[in-house]
Amino acid sequence: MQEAATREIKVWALAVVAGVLLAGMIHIVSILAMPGLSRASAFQRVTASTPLFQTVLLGGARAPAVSPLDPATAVAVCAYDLANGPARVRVETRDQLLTLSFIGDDSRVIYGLTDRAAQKGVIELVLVTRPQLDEALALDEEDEVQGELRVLSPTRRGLAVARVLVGLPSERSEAEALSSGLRCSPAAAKAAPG
Amino acid sequence: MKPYRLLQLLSTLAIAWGLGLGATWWLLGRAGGFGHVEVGPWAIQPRIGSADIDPYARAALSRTGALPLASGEGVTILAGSDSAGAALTGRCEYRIEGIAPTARGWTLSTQEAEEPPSTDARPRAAVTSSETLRDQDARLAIAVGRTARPGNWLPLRGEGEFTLVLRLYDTPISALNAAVLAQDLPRIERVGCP
Repeated sequence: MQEAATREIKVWALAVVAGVLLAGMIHIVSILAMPGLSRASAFQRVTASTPLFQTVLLGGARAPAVSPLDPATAVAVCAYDLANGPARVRVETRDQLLTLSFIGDDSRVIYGLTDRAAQKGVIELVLVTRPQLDEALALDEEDEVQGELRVLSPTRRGLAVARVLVGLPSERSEAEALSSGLRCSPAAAKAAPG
Repeated sequence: MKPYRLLQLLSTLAIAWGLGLGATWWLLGRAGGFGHVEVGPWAIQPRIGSADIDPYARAALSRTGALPLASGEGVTILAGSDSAGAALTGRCEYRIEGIAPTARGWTLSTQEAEEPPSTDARPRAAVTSSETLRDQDARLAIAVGRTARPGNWLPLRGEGEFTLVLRLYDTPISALNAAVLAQDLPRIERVGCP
């Protein structure tokens, strides 16, 4: 009788321990799976209301709800998809501090730079996937200087984000115009040599 | 077959799902997240703007839809308490003192836990490097509170708890070196709670 009761307690203890171990696994899997399953990432929020390759200024009443943003910046985003080839991203710079970054649809930041990288007042670069980069490198002439900056995007889809610092409230409209000047578009296919 | 074997199995599964998903929900609700560096009252997530972001921060981003600053753009630094360790609350007045952070541009704003529903535009949602007055030694002092102050003043709207958000743009400061940061970050002093 005593023996049977002890055995029952052991079985229940085992059930609890197994539950806790399983809980650990479920927790880890849910954390790792969330970026893929979530419908609330910045990319999802933007593309829910804005087509690909179209720039939208964040923060307005009808803009995608991406928050929290720095209230002293003007932020514009443009969603890209590299399925049909590389994408070209371009933004002009002026006196106001401007930064440009890329974030994948898996919520991982890809790259970020500031207007110090601008050449003649323009930041221009080409987003490529790994196979597209390999292809472009194979096509490059060996002694030709490659003028374009290529950025490897680990994910096929993502957002280009242009931020302009609004130092003084009076600079807001100028800053919004500057960040809205962000352009992303499918890059024209390079003519094959020969 | 004992009649309660099924009950034991169900208990195991209930513990597993409840604890596992509960831990996920609880951990993602926490503001600081894992792997953050603390310098006095300030906290930074050094890897949030890079590809090696930790899985918890990434899962949180995929749910909030926030756009973190890329490492090449700048750093976001948060404080939920004053330099004495007490939680920041809208019932008190604060004074932020120190040298201006080493950055081409910076902004200081607040995130209030309960923003009172108001259609009025906030008098000022952020204080920026361009508009801040400094004394002769380039030291800066910013008042934070509900009562208007002369000089640099960051207004609060609610009486609840809030977080201070300091964003440094185009900065040589790396969140990976806490010693460098400690010299650069201002102190948060509680002036009083009227």
